[in-house]
Amino acid sequence: MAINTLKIREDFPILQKRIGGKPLVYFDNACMSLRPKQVLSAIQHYYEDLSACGGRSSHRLATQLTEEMERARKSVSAFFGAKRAEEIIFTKNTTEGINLVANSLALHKGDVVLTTDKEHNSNLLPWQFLAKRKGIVHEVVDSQKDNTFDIDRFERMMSKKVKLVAMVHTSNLDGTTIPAREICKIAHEHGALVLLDGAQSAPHKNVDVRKIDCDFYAFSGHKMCGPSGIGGLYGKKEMLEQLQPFLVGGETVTDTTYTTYELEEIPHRFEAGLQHYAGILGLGAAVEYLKKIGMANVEAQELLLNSAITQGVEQLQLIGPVDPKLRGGICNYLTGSIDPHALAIMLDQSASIMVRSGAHCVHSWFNKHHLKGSLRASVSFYNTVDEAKFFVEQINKIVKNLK
Amino acid sequence: MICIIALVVFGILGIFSATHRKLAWEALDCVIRKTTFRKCRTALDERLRSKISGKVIGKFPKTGAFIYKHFTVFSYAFTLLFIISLIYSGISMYNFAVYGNCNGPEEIPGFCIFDPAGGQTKVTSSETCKIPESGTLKTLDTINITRFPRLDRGSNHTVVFIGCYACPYTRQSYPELQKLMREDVNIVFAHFPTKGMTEYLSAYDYCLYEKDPELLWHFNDALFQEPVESLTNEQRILDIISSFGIDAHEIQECTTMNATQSRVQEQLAALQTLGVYGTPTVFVDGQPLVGPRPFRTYKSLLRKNGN
Repeated sequence: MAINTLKIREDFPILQKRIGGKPLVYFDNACMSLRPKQVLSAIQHYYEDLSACGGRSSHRLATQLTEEMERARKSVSAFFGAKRAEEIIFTKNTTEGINLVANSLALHKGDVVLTTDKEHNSNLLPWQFLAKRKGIVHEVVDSQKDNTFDIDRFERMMSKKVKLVAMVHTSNLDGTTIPAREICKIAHEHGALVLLDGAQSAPHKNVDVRKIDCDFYAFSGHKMCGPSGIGGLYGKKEMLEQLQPFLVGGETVTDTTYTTYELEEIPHRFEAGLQHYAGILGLGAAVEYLKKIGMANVEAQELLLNSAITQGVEQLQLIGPVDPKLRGGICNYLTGSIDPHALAIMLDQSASIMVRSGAHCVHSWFNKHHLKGSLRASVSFYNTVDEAKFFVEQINKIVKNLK
Repeated sequence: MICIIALVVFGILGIFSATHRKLAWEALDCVIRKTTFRKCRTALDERLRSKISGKVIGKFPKTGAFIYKHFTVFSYAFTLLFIISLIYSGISMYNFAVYGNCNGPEEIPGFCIFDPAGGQTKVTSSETCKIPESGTLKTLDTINITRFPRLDRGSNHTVVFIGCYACPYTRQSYPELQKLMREDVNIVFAHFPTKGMTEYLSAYDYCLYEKDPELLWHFNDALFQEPVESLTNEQRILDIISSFGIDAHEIQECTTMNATQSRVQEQLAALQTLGVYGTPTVFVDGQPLVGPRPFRTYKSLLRKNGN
C-alpha cells in the first residue's frame, strides 16, 4: 500500500517552511530525521503537563509521568519485537547504548570483538579503548568488493575466542544491511554474543530483535523521528541481568548502606540519574507514528526515492552496490575532483537541498581506501519523488559545470 | 587570499554581531596560517568559495562554475583591489587631515567620505555670486601681492585670504582666519566682491587700510558679523566706521578718489589674473585651498612648511 506522502508532510512543521526563499529539500535523514508534530506535542506535553520526576515521587504528576514513561517503553519494545518492556533501556543515543555494553560486559584480556570494516566511530572507538585498557582483541571483517558483508570471511574468523560480534546493522556509509539473523546464528554457535548498531536500521525497516535473535540492539531516537538526546538499548533479559552497570547513581539501586548497595531490577539499574522524560515520551510518540505509517511502507517509499536518485545521478561514483534495494535510503557518492563539502554547500546555497558531506564518522573506511570524503543523500518516507528528481537535476547541473 | 578581505569585513561586522566575531577569528587564524604557507584550519576560504559560487550556480550555472574554478584568481584580484583601495583611503585620510579635502590640495571635484556634504570644498556659485564656477588657479607670483592689504609680522609664512563679505562660505571660513591671525604668520586680505552691490566695500577696505592698517582688520571683523542684507546699506557701513572713532565721511570721500578707484580696479584685475573662481580661496605659503577649510588644515600646512 503506497503512502500519501503529501498528507504525511503536513505533519512536519519544518517542511512547511522555506529556506532562503526556496522549499526545503531535506536529504540528511541518516544524520538526523525531522520530527512530526505528534512528537513535538509529546515533548510539549511533558513540559506543560507533567514536569516532574518519574519513578520517584508519589504525587499525581510523578505517577502519571511514570505511567506514561512505561507506556513509551512498552511501545518501543513492541516496535522492535522485544519479549518484555524491561528489555528496553533508555539511553542518550546509540553511542551510549554501545558504550554501555562495552563497559558492562565481562570482556577480558585476549577476548576477541569482531566488527565490520565500515563501522561508525561509535562502534569502533569503544573496542579500541577496551583493547588499550583491558587488552581485548579487536578484529575487522572486511567487506566484499561491492561493500556488502562477507559472510564466509566472517564465518572463517569466528572462533571460541570471539566473545562479541558488534556490527552495524545498516551502514550509514552505503545503506547496506548485514545478514543479521545468519550472523547471530553463527556467532551463537561459537558462543559469542551479538550487539547490533541499529542507528540506521531502526528508522528504515522492520526490525524484530527476537527474529534476528541478537543479544543487544542499540538505537537512536533522533534518527527515527524522535527527539534528540534519547535512544535505547535492547538486551535480552538474561543478558541484561548479567551486565554490571557502568553508570550508577540515583534510580539504579533499591537500597544502600555506607558500604553496600542493592541494585534495582532491569532496566532501571542501567538508567542512572533523572531521565530525559520529555525525550522518552517523544520517542514513544515517534514509534507510534512510525507504526501508523508502517515500516514496510517506509521501506517501499525509500526504495522508490533511492531508485530515482540512483538512476538519475550522472558522473559520480556510488559507494556500495548499485542495486537500490540493497542500500535502503542512502545514496553516497564519491565526487572525484570536486570537493564533497563544496558540492554540499552549493546544493544548499543554490537549491536549499540539505545533504551530508565528509567521512560520515566512518573515517576508518575512508582512510583504508585513501579517500577524503563523499557526498551522501539520505532519504526518508516524507521525501517525495519530485524532491528526488529535483536533487538529481541540481547535482547533475552543478557537477556537469564543475567538471 | 579571500581570508584577508574576510578578516576586514567580518572584523567590522563583528563589532555588532557575535556570529561575525567568530568568523573574524576564523579569518584571522586563516590569514596567519596562509602567511606561513599552511592550510586554513577551518577551511573558511573553501567555505566562502563554495557559498559564493553556490549562490550564483543555481541561476547561472556556467558563471557559478567559472567563479568556483577561478576563485583563487578572483581572490587575488579582489585582495589586490582591496590593498589599492586601502592605500587610496590612507592617502584620502592624509589629504583630509592636511588639506581638509580627500582629493588633495588641488580642487578636484569628487565625493569625500570624511566630508560627505562637501562642506569644506564648497565655494560660492556663479548663480549667487556671479563668478565662474571653476577654473585653474595660477601661482601667486603671477600677480603683485604687495598691492593688497597686509598684516606683516615678519614671519616666514604668509596666508593670503581672498574672500567676499556677502558670500556664505567666506563668512563660514572667517572665524578660521581669525584663529590664523593669532599664529605667527603674515596675512594678506583681498576682497573679491562676488556680489555687485558689495563692490563698493573694496574701496572702503583700501581707504581704511591706508589710514591705519589695524582699522582694516576691525572693519573685517565687523562686516563678517553684520547681516548680509546690511552690507548693501552704505549708511550702516558709515555707522560702523564711525564706531571706530574716526571720521566716516573722510573715509567715504577717499573711496570716491581716482587713486582709490584705480587701486581697487588694479586689485580686481589681479585676482582675475590669478584665476580666482570661488570664495573663499586661501593661499597658505602659496598652496591654494578653495572652500571653507578648518583651522587644522591651515595649521597642518604651516607645520608642514616648518612652523
